[in-house]
Amino acid sequence: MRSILCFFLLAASLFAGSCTDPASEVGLDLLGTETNLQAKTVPATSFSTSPLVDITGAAPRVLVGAVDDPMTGQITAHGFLDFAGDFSGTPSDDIKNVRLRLSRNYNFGDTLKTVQFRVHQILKEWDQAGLKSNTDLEFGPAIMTVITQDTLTTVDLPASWVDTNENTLRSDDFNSEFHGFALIEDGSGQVFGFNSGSTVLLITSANGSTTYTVNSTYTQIDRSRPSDPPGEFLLFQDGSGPAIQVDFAFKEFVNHPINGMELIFRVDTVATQSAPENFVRPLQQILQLVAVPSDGTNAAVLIGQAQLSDEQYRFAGKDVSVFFQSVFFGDQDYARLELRAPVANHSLNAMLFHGTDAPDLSPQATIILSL
Amino acid sequence: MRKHSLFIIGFVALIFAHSVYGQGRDNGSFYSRYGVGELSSFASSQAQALGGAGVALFSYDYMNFSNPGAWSRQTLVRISVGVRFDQLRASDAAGRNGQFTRGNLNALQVGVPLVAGKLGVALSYQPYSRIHYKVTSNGTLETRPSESTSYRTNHEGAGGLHLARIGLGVRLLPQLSIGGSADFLFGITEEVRRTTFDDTELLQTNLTSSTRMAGITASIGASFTIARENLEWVLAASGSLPVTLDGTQTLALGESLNLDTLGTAVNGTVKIPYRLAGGVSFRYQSRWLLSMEFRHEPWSDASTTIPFAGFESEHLRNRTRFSAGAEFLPAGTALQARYLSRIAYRLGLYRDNLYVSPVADRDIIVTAVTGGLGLPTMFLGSRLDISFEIGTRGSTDYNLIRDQFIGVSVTINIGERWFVKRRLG
Repeated sequence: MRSILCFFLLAASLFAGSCTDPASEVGLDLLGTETNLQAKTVPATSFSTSPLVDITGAAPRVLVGAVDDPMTGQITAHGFLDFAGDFSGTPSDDIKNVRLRLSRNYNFGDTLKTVQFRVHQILKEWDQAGLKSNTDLEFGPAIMTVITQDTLTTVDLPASWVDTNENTLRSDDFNSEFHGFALIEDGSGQVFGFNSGSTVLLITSANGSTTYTVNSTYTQIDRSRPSDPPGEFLLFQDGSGPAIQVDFAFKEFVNHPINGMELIFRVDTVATQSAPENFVRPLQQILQLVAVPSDGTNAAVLIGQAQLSDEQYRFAGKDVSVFFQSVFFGDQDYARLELRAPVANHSLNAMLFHGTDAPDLSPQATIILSL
Repeated sequence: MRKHSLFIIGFVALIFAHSVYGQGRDNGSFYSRYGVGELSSFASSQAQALGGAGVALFSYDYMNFSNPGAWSRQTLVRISVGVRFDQLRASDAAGRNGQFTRGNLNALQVGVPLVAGKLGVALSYQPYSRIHYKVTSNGTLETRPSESTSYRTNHEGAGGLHLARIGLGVRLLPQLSIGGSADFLFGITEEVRRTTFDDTELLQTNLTSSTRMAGITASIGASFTIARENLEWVLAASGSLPVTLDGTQTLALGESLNLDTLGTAVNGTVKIPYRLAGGVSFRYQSRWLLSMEFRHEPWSDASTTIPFAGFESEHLRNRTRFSAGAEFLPAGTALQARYLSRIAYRLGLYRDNLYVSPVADRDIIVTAVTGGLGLPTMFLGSRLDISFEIGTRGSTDYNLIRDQFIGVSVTINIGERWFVKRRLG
């Protein structure tokens, strides 16, 4: 038995010393080109504009006004706001004044011109979630007209309207009985964006004041004249469109493992901002790359988000790579790729993209492959 | 009691050996990357210490799996299990060095005499080939003009073919023994390429190419013995038929359970050529033993429809292996001699050329000196063998690699007499 024990002891001690090894570079010369990864750049196979019916419900701002821009066309925006809150006075308090305080944090167009809109009361309850910019909401007759050019616009609603709606304004059921205001454009020279966070409905009664805050937003956008960008560019515009759609020759990468993916879209900010004096045309700072599904039923898949930098949007990172890896493996499918603005930054911001005519400036995808 | 101990020891040995063998990605020669891997041909611990010159050996203390003819002369039920540990130092023309260690199973062998000294059956399980290398490359990839990223790629190979055999040896005449076996070859080889980047935006990839293969072949052997009073000559030959392995190769991305299969699996065949070995041994006074063997495998006839590195005609080489060795057992058959005299002292050498070369039309030569001790145990017919092997493989010419290796094997051979008729009631 001692010899058997000896066998196991010898074997075990030798084995214990043979468990770990550092990697070595010996053999690299024989591997040759097999060690190479490859970075392949492919141009866009299609790059064009597409109509956009943006989701403008539940955005952190509403747009109101109209603009006639030689480049982006003629656009009209109507804002819709609903409020919520609890009346702080006693039921018998007389309401002396109702003031709509609109806080501007965005404008597009000729800054010397005014924004003029009518205030209407919305007649039916509405749900802001997912509302698209071409949705009609039902509202009543005009209560008043407002002309403004200021950062803070205060609208004192007429006493007749206050009298008519006093019970509702004081009601415990205000949130369900009152459906908000429609701010309908009525001869503006620019578009204002009112920040929903600092826009309030202020109700003053004998014993104090109550502030109702915005709980729903929506912007309806109409385009009455199409955009007319310079010939070598494609125009992207938030809110009203057009959006950008793009695709690349990815077929050769089907079933290939990838290590990285980068999509670059080059733009011209100078040309985008080229406008008559006092005309403001803000740049689109953030863009999202989305995949629109083939079946048209599911919501578009967000692939990645990019910040404007060095005259380009660059979509890269693990999320982008993982998405395209799943596409190349057949786990995902899409009809086309689109560039869209995030809903959270609702605006009419614009950007001119270099088209496919300029090879160095056209969109390109770079894929790092493990071959 | 002994039978029980044999079973227990055998079982424990099997588990232990398998755990050693199952260690997976231990590292060894980069040459194992080519073809179906580095070939293994363990016949017995005795033959191993004699340079592998085993075809003409037979011994009552050892099974000999290089010649089925030798299985006819078993007198004891025998189980043998051995493990081997190698330390390897590799260097290339660029002056890079690497040092590796690995451990693996030599073989698990069982022999049962059906008619003592005349008819015996044998079973074995042992590696046929092994792939065990790991190479790391660091590089820089230009992703865009004026932009680059650093990466690191590990190339790893693992797995190999296993050989399970069952056969019979029969002594037709006092001088002539023949035998044959059915040999089942099976196994999985894996090549893994793992790429990582300094840039955290990039995905690590883990590409695994797995090839599953299996096939059946047969081996035959014969030995002719000329015995005189104090000396014995044995002339022997053995061979294996060519075998066609059916295989399936898949490429997958990911690790363990999270694998994505890339493309469709490749089904194909791997044709492995015949093996032929001839040898002679000379024993004098049961103290001296000389053995020589010549082996030939025409790998230039091999082919595959499954892609393997180096499996192209200009890289395949006909394998010729020459080996010789001597054993000195001072006590001879004297069982009562002192312990040191009952130890078998062995020395051998061999010269081999690999069946596949990374560089076209270049042989990779392996030369080694072997040796070892056969230690007697308190059980008659059982020995503990310790063998060593020191050698070199290849050279640094033509961007090749020079391996310097030291191997140590430990093998336990246990023999017991079973099926003895009771003579007293």
